[in-house]
Amino acid sequence: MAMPPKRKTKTVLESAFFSDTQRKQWQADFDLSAVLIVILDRSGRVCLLNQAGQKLLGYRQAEIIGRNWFDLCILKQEAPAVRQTFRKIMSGQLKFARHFENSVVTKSKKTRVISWYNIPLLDHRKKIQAVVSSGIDITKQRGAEQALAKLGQKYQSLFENLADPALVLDLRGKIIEVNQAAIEQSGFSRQELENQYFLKNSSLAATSLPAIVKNYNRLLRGRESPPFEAEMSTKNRQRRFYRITARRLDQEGQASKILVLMHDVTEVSVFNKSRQAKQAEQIEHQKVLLEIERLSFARGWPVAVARILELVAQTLNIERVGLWLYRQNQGELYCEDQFRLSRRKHERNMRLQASDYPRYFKALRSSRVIAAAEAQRDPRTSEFTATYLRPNNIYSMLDVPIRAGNQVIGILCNENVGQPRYWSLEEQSFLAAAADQLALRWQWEKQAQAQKKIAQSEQELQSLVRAIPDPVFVLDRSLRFVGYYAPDGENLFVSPEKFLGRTVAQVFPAWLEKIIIPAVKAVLKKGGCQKVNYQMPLGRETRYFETTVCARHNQRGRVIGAIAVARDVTAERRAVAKITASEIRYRSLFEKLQDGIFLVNAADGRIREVNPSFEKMTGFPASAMVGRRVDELPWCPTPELAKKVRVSLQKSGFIQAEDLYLINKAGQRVDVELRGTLYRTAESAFIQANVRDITERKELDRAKSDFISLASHQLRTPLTALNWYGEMLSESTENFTVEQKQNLQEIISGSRRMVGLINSLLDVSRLELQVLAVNPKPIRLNLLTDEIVKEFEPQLSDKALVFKKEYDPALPVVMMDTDIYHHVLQNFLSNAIKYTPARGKVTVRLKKNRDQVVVEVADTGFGIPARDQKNVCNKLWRSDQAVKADPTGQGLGLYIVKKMIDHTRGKFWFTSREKHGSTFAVAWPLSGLPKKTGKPLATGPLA
Amino acid sequence: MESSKKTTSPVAGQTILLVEDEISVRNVLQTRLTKEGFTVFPAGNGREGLALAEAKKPDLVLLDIVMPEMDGMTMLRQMRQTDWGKNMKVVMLTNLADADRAAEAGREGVYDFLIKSNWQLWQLVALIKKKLQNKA
Repeated sequence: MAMPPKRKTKTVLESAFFSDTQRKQWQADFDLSAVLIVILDRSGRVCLLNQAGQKLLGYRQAEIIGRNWFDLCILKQEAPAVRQTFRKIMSGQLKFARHFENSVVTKSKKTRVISWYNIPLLDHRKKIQAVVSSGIDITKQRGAEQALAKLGQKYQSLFENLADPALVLDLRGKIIEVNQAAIEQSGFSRQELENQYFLKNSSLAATSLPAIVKNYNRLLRGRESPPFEAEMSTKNRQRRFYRITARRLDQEGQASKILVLMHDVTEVSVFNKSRQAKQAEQIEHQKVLLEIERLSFARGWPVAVARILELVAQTLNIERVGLWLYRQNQGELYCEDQFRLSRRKHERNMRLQASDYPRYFKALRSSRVIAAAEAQRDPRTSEFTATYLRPNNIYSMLDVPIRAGNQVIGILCNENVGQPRYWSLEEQSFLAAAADQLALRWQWEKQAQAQKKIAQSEQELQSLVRAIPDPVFVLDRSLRFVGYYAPDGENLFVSPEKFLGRTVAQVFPAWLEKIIIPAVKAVLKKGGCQKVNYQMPLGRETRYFETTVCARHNQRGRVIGAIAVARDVTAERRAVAKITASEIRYRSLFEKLQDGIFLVNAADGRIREVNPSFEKMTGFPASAMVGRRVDELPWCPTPELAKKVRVSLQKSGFIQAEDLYLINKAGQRVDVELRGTLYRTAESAFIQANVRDITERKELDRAKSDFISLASHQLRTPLTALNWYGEMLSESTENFTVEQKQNLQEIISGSRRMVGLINSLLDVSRLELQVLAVNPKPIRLNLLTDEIVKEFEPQLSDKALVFKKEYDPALPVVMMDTDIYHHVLQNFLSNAIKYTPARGKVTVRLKKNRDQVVVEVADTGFGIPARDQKNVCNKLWRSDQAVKADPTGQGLGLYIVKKMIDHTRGKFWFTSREKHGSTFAVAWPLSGLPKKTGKPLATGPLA
Repeated sequence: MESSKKTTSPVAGQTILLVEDEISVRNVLQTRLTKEGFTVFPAGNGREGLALAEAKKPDLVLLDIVMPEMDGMTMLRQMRQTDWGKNMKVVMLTNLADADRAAEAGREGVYDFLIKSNWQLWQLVALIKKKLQNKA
């Protein structure tokens, strides 16, 4: 700021025109004024500036007095013009303007707008010497006015130039103003719009009226109206949607107005609607995808696939949706399932070969989505045009690769029928999501299968391991123990903590290492199994082990370790040793036994083995016999016999046959006795036949029999003569004395006894040699018994014995040998009669007992003392009582009877109580006596 | 027990051939049968017996088995092969109790096979009479 120049001259105020007093008065008065007062002289120099003015302009009076107003306080750009005007006024060219406005610049270079009121100071010649100007700072006001004006302008231009239609309504709803956009968009002219009542405008859609009215009323009530949408139609009936914002304009001094701004949201509305629709669609898709996800894991693979394809087809309205999986290293596509929407049918098993559709497969290999909107022309899919697309009216295809892990396992193939379809991004992304679900499901399926297999094999392993009663050790490739299974701790030679995690070398003693490690290494290298045997001292004994080492494989078949099953075979070994020992014993017996032995398979009758004695017996070597069937062999007399023997063996397990013979190599008959036993082993059944050469014995027997026959014949002959001469003599005993007659009787009875003895001896020998003939015939036992009893009637009556018979009426006909029956019953009856005192009782019972017929003879006689009962059937034994009762008895009777009963497969027993009586009984099978060839009973009917 | 020894009157002229090598037995039987009124031709072995049988054509032959020169079974077989001998009544009287022989005898049409020592004379005589009566 320049220093105020030294006043060279006095201001006009200080001139003579104006007195000092006047000037001071004016200074005092002006300083009191609130407004700016400045006096300028004719050249525009400041003569006076009041306090207010100083304050406003920022200059002290001393600074500004004498300075040129226009230089100092007028805007540079305005200064020339203002100076000019001032000069003109001063020179009288322009009329003095009492009131004007201009801008001043303050000391701080601020611009202020002042509204001046000027009074000229005239001299006595009425020439203006100075001007007194009072100014009001109207900067703010002017600013406001300007702003307002600007605003008004702005507003006006804004209003006018709004892109959106805008209306100004009065409170009655009359359109006061419309802007250009309103005119353009509505198609109506300004005249048609202005001064119409907005609410009565026909372009308002009926549907929107309520909202409009509501909001209008709100505004009227002074409340705010939120934006709302309304539909309106243009002059040419085009429907448009507007977002309407309405404000009430209240201005002081002006009537309230309503400003209505309308924003065309038709596009947006439609867009929104379509976006809403799209959103709804997306939500729907999401739902469907969730459903697909749920399905994927809820059911079996084929059902899941079918349902997923159906959902996809239905959701996107695609005619054909198919799941195709790669086979043969991407050389073939195999249709797992294809769904036809219109037919609601599933098709399967179709195949596409890469060789037939090279372009398509190549396109697929890019692993990207193939969206062929015009599939028949698209080079990637045109290979199918003639054979598939055209015939099926397919226009568009969308193939989405199904990725599982990092490989493509197949495609989700979608085909649109009837017209081209431009697959939207949403659709593509939906299909991609569906394809992902399928991939997951596929993976899950594969995993489930693999897991099932593992579980199965795990289960198998478990059950296998559980079944093995021996400890199982699991080793890895570095021969480390990684696991074990043991049924109980017993068999583990070391406790688990001591070996788990450590290697074989660390755990086993060196000698065991040497045995186990090579085996493990071998299976690790080659797979398979190895067995090792070793023994180990455990406690006080030595135990034997057999360990089987097998390779362990992972899923891919790689050897990842080994499993060792350690079996304690000590017991087995001992058993084996025992068996071996007994085998050896058997062997030696087999070889050395004098009896012939041959072993036959029970199943097919083939000879397994023969011993040397049998070879000797038959005259044939073992080689000629082993493997051949018994009935084929020359030494077997009859094939039927061999079969019969085998069959009855299988039934009963044991057979003894005494009347067999075989023909030896020399053609001689060899009488044999056969004892056969059926043995069953785990694998097979075989018959061991012991064959004893009884030729000698038989000859001996024959010789004995012949001897006895001969002896008996020789003995009988003189006895016959004796008997008959005796008889003859007794027919002519008229001249005999009593004594002579008695003597004769003694001779006769003596010889008869001899005959009886010889007969008995003959029978005994026959029984002992088992050559007694048995000839069973169908007999009614009750009748036969009666016959026999009849013979004893005289004897019974002689002793006044009471006879009782108890016959079972239901007794059937029995195959019985009458002679033998006769003999037995006679023996019982005669004994009963002999050893029962007079007036005693004899009872004969015939009973049926399950499968037997029982004949009992009970008496009330002397009985047999207990101590003697065991001797009763002994040869030539007679109790004291018996001797007393019948001195002539020989003691052979019961012996013969017992032997006879045995011989005929009957059972003999007796009960006896001394002084009370005895009951003798025989039981024969109801099926009858077995027929036997031989010699008949010698003891014929008692005379 | 001694039963009645009633004898019935023999049919006149009935002849019996007795083939028995044991003299005592032959004599006593011959005596007894003669007493009964039969005419008895004795023979000591099979050969003699055959000749006598052919010559005398007896009504009944009592035949022992064990005999020298020709035994009873052989004589029987040969006899049965002749016209005169094939239907001749024969009773085997033997002390040899042999089922085989009895069967063989049966095959040759002899159904009476008696153990001498078991039969009393009167029983034998009764049987002989019965046998001879049958034909008549």
